[in-house]
Amino acid sequence: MIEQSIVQRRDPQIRRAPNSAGLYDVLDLILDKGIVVDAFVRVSLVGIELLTIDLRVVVASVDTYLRYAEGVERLQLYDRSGAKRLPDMVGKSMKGKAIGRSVDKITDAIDGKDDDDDQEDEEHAEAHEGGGFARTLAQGVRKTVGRVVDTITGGGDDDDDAEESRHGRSAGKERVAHRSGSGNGSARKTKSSSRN
Amino acid sequence: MGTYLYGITRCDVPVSAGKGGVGDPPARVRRLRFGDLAALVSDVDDDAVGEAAGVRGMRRDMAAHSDLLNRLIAETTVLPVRFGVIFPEDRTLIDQLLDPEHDQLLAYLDRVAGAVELSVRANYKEEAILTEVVREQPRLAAGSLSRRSGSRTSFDARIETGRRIAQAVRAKRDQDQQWLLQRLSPAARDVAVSDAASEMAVLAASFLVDRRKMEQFDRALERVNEEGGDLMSLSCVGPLPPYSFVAVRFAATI
Repeated sequence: MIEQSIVQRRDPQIRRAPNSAGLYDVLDLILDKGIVVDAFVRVSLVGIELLTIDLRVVVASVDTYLRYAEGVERLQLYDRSGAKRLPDMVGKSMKGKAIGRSVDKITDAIDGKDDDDDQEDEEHAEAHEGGGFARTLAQGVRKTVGRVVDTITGGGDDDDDAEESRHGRSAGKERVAHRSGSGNGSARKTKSSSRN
Repeated sequence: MGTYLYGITRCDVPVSAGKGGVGDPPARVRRLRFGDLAALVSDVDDDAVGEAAGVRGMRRDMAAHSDLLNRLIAETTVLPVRFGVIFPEDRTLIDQLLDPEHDQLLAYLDRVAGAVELSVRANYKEEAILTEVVREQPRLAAGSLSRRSGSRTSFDARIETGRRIAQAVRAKRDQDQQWLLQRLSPAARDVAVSDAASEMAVLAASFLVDRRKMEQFDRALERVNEEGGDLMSLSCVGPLPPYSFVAVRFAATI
């Protein structure tokens, strides 16, 4: 598009334009930021938010600590053997339960199961993981829940390459922070709605 | 029927939206003027748009909403609206938003004039950060090999080791987050930082960057990537409409 080439004069190695074929880059922005008039917003995300809060408790967990400890043990082993290449230290995540309907709905919406474009999007998505609720949810849950999540989000990628290329965010605090809080630097303006 | 709202601009700027709205087929996008403002809207059947349209409809409409605003931000200043805001009719949009919040909206337009949002993520490469942490503090890993797997003691001891490593990673993350912000903020008008929610996340932040300074920002990104790229993966998406810098809730005044 003409507009795009005007804005990106040189080829940005790290920066890339929001992919118009996929939603991952902007999902958290269009669902959680921007201007909103409370009485007229038609998207309900309550289910997602509750799940996200629950998962935050799960993610900062024993599983993570064990994974670190195991990774470091393997480091020690390799150090002693003098090998230069470090082993793949990714711990396999534990199997987990299925996730609620709200998540299914949103992630289906993102991934559009029938679409072929989405497989390409996976790479970009993995690179940025700006995918907001469902994506961050999936990210956090993936660490502790595993294959079930991949099925739901249509991930298809192995955990093994995840640590190398994933630039993900996890579910959790930031969602809670945004709910209760600020636009991080932008003024919050509300008028009291007096319904008498 | 309803009036779907995408975004708000000054009334005197040329805007080449016209097609590509929500709904199937895509609704026409028109401008509703009030005072010095223009709202970009579509007439929609609110049973067939957004969440009401089901999973596929929602995906289609989120893409339309986002794509439209992405196209606009390349040419002009626009205040993006959250996905899924539908007023019963034009009059309600004027009475509930454009009129009561007219000056406030102009102030926001001033704040983001000529600027775009760039969304930046930096995450540690897990293998690399663990290596680095152990290199800096060898004691963290001390004794980890002497544990036999399977026993209760070794399980608890592993968790303790892991916990201490996690703590060390967090300390490094705080430092590295500051470093990234120091390197990237000079080219930005404003910064909105999110809490780093995962153990591996170093920075999740949006930068409000003047269009004319985007090259400067890109260069700063590249330098940061050169210096920190062994330890962390860096990505940036943009230009985006400045969602993070106009994240405002207005309550309806009924």
